[in-house]
Amino acid sequence: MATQDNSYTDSSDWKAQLNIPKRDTRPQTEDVLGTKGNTFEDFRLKRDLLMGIFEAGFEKPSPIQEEAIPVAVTGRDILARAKNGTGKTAAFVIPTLEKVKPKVNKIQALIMVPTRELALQTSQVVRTLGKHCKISCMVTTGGTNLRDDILRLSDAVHVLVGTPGRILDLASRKIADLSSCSLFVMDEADKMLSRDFKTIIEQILTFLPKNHQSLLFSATFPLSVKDFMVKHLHKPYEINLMEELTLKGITQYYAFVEERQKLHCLNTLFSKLQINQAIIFCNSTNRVELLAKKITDLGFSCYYSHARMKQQERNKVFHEFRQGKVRTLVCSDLLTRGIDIQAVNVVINFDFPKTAETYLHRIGRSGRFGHLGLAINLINWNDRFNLYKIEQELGTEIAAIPPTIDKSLYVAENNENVPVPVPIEQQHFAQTPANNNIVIPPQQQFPQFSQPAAEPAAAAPQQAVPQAQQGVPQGMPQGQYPPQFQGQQYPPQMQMQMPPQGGYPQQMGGPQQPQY
Amino acid sequence: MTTVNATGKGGASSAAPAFKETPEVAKKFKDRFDYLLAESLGSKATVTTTKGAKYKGVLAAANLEANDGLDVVLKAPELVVAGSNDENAGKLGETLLVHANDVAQLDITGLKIGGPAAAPVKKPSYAAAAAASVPKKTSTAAPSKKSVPAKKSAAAPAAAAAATPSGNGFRTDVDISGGKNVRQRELQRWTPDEGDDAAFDPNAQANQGQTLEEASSTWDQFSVNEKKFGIKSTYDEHFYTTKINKSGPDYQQRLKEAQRIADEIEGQGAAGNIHLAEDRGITVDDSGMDEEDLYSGVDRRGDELLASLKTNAKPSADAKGGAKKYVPPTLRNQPHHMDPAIISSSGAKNVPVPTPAHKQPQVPAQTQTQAQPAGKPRATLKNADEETKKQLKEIKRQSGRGEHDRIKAKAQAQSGPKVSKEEQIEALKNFAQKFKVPYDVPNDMGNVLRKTNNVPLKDDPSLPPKPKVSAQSAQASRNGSSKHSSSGNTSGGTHSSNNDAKRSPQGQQHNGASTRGGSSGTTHTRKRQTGSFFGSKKPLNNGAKRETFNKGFNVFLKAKEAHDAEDSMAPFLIEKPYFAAPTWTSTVEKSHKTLFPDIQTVFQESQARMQMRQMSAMGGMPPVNMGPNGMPQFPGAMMGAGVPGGPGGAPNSNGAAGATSPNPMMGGFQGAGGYMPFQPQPMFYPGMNPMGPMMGGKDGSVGPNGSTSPPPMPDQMGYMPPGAYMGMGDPYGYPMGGMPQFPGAMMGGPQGMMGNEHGGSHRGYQGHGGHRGSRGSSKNSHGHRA
Repeated sequence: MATQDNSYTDSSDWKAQLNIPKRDTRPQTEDVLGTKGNTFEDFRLKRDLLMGIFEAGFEKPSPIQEEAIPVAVTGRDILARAKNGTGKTAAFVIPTLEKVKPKVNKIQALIMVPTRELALQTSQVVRTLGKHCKISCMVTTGGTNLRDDILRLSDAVHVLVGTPGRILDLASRKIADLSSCSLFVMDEADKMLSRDFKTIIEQILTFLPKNHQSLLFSATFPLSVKDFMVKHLHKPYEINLMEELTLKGITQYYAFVEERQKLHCLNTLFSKLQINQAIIFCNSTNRVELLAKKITDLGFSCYYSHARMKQQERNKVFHEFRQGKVRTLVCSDLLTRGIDIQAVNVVINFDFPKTAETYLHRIGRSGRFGHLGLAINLINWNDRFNLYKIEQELGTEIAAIPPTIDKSLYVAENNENVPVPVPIEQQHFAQTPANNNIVIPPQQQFPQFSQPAAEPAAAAPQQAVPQAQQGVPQGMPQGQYPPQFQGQQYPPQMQMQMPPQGGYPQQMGGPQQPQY
Repeated sequence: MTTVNATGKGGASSAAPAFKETPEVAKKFKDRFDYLLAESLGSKATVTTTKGAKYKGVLAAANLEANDGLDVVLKAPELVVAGSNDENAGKLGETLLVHANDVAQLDITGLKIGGPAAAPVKKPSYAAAAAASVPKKTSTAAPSKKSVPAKKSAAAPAAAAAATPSGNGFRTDVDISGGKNVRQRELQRWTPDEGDDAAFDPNAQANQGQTLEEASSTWDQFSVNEKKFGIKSTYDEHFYTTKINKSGPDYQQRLKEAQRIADEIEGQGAAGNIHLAEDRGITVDDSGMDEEDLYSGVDRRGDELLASLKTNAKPSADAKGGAKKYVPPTLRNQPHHMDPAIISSSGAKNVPVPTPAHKQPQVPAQTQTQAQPAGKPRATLKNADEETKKQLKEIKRQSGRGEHDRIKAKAQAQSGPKVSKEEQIEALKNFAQKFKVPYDVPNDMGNVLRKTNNVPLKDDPSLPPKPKVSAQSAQASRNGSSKHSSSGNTSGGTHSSNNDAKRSPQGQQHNGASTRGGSSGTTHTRKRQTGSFFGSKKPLNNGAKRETFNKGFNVFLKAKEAHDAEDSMAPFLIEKPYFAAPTWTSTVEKSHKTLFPDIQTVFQESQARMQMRQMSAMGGMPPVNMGPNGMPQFPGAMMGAGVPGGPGGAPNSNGAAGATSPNPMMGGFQGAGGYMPFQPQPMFYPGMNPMGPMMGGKDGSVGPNGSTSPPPMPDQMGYMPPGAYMGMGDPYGYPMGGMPQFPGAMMGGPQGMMGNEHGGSHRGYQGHGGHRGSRGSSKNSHGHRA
């Protein structure tokens, strides 16, 4: 596929040289397709950056990118909201990369996020998009060796991504010199302006130059951030692309169960659904671990993550799940916000959250970038009112789970090119052209998933411990495929951007409607 | 018609946009709410209880003063929908009183407001649905008071959104969703498919394994997944971050320097900010918060000040004012998990484990070895049977663990099989005598000390209900305390801190540091006749003692001595003693040497633990200790980790907390491992008098009023550990350098630091961060400048 891309030239040579990854052909919704029709070239970005953007597989800006990038490039403050998974990260990373001058060896942009995993992910986006920009991006979060971060800062760092606590420590000691950092970005801004973070943020702001530019992004703003706006933003350009809160591509159901039925219900879901990758949320760390254990006992590969684990382990889990090595991830709300894993098509709230924004972010882990997804909430008696409350805050009503769920609601016909993020370092030694036979839908490796899906109506003859199947390692080509992935396909892109003559078996020419 | 949404425990709170309410506004709401209620008396009402039952009847009365919402009295009640395990299904009398905490929702239909004309609109609905419907109703209704609809519509997101399409600032979530009416409907039960396998049969015994309630959850996900599914990890941090340049010629040097800075940063406290603590690698007890609070949810209480006000005000406000005052939904405490499964599974985790090894690896082994012998010699436990003894030891061993656990263990000890009451009491007395509080005592401990009777476990709905301390146990230990005055406060402290842990969402922390503090605290426990310290006899002015005293407390002399005793190659350095001895010089009856381990011991301990070489100043510790009414208090134990509020924490001036002997601070030093951070500047020695400012404020609560503090008087309150003070005064630990007018302030720092060296952390450390910071950069040297 990639070679086909190369044959497409846009009258400019450089574009022909790019290693454009295989496209993600899954259907998408209006959430990411409803644009004015601009292209990235229209933004007059520097060539190096455009190369990175296209090589990342982006074809055309999403609505939020279309709105935010040109304004941000002019230097104006932005306060923006857009739905989960509609390209917010790139919407601030692209202007950041555009504005950072690689020859100035100072920290010129600071990106702050609430969790360490999100910091890793954001950093990776910066590195992916800025691959040709000669910009160095460093992550600094708690839980890692502080000494190493201090050492890293003695070399040139242009973009600093991290969590507030660590950044404050580094900044306040002038280890991270923020005096030339004219760009200040906050992702998940509502959380960052929530009480505990806010105090840290405000201290960090004192280390930035007075006239810095601020970009604030989030999908939710449950509280007004007016105070902060008035105090710290200068005539912010407000972007609000949301006429509704929930994503169009996500179908939500509840299953009203007793507490002790939850595991049973989950098992039934596993057997009936066709899961690419699933994230399951629990409300306590203990339950996260227990549930993950149960799931492995049931015969499904499963990692878990929560904040009480060692950071090294957390990173490992995060990384491997992103790579698609494990099908199921059980986690706490640590990974509720921002985590972008394209292959996730099912989110299960094993425990129902307390707040609407948590709910929204959780279910937003599926249906990334306008794709389809499923969110299933296990509700017990005590959760009822919370369900009503959240429904009301979100202005949506969640339906009871039907006996069978139409596959077209959440399963793409062709999962082959669901992008798996490829570590940027690795792509450097993957110089050979893409090799399609390695493309693995990570999910198809596990028979226990696809099997039941083939007979979805069958009454879940799932044995509690189908160990027989599991005894043998299921033959993930571990460690093999990342190098073969050509360009990393970080956020996917829309189909419509590709010229029809590109020869794609493309059924949708324009902004297609979701298939449901 | 309207719906008065009187939520029980935050269950059905509606969603309103966040707007800050001034007292006037709040009052208006309250008035309107009262008015509405008054108007609704006599109307038909439907009460939904938290159990799910619905009762219909005529609203006869409502108690606004209820603790937890709104008590409702219905006349001619009628059961509409039976709830889960409903107890009074069969026996409905003429009136029905539904207690506030059972009321989930109150629907009133056919309400006429302000005139006879209102046609009853039948539209029972859910919370904000009411908001929308009220204005509608008034339009059909005859002239009615405008204020009534205004009340609800003010809170109604829909109205707000409509009124301000986007003009008035950035729209919040609810502005966008429009707070559509979502009906509160019957949920449809999920039913397992036929023929599902038996493993999940809820009635099967094996079903035990199908819930998430096991106590232990530790398993190695990587090895299991690798073994079962062949999944190997290939993570490398360089996928995400920059490489370290290790090639430079000065790499080693940079490495060292970086390590130094890193240690410095991580050694400081976190100012009570959980995210800061997290990034500094401090283990924080976040038991009051789950990860939703930490990483995902937005705290609806608003900014810091507001939140702290709300948090602090809660016990009383909720108890009394809660019902009276209209509380807008956004400001109501967020509902936390009432899910029994979660509660039980998290509770299960806390079950005392005989060997705390894997749960608290940071507890040094010496804790146990030290603590036990310390207890033995004085074991007066004659009557109590063997079992109780064992349990008590167990309790002791766990002293590094959560207070909650200990209480539980205690309760268990209580309920131990066939222990007669007297034995129990005896055992508890004994326990109380020996028991030391080995960790920080929370700052509002004082409050609780006063009212040990009442253990308000329900203070914070955010926390799962925990087993209550049995009244008996509390009682018993209090009895013990009245007889053995020395024990009273320790056991009291136990309860109180337990309480506190529940009340404050930040929780408190117990860990290696405190444990260690506790254990070494035992080393200088003496049989003390409490009350004898300042009791009846006036201290005599004894010249000889003064001599000793002066000598013993001369830092320079002692440091010299220590230096001579040590290998003489080391440069002579005088450490910074962070505080002074008591200023009343002549009340000392014994040499400090009798009360504290001799210098050698201290040395050995500190060296062994810290590998720090100096410790000498401590040798000259004043021999003082008990507070007026004698609180052996094991100051070291508590202070060691920088107690906020201190033992006497709150010298709440009723003498109950005589906890305030002057040397908790001293003890703190030893307690925390006898480690003094290296501080060559002798000028920090505060001398005798400057200590004054360290005195705790009378109310012992917040706010450093220390600058005007009274001269140290023995029988007055006690000292606040300055760390605590600083802590409260300095919310960030960062630039706000604390209060320079507060000479004692610096003392907080080191203590906190010591605590932190052990990985300790506590709100009380707040100040210390600043102090620590001051060493690295000149920004925030509050202590030092003082």
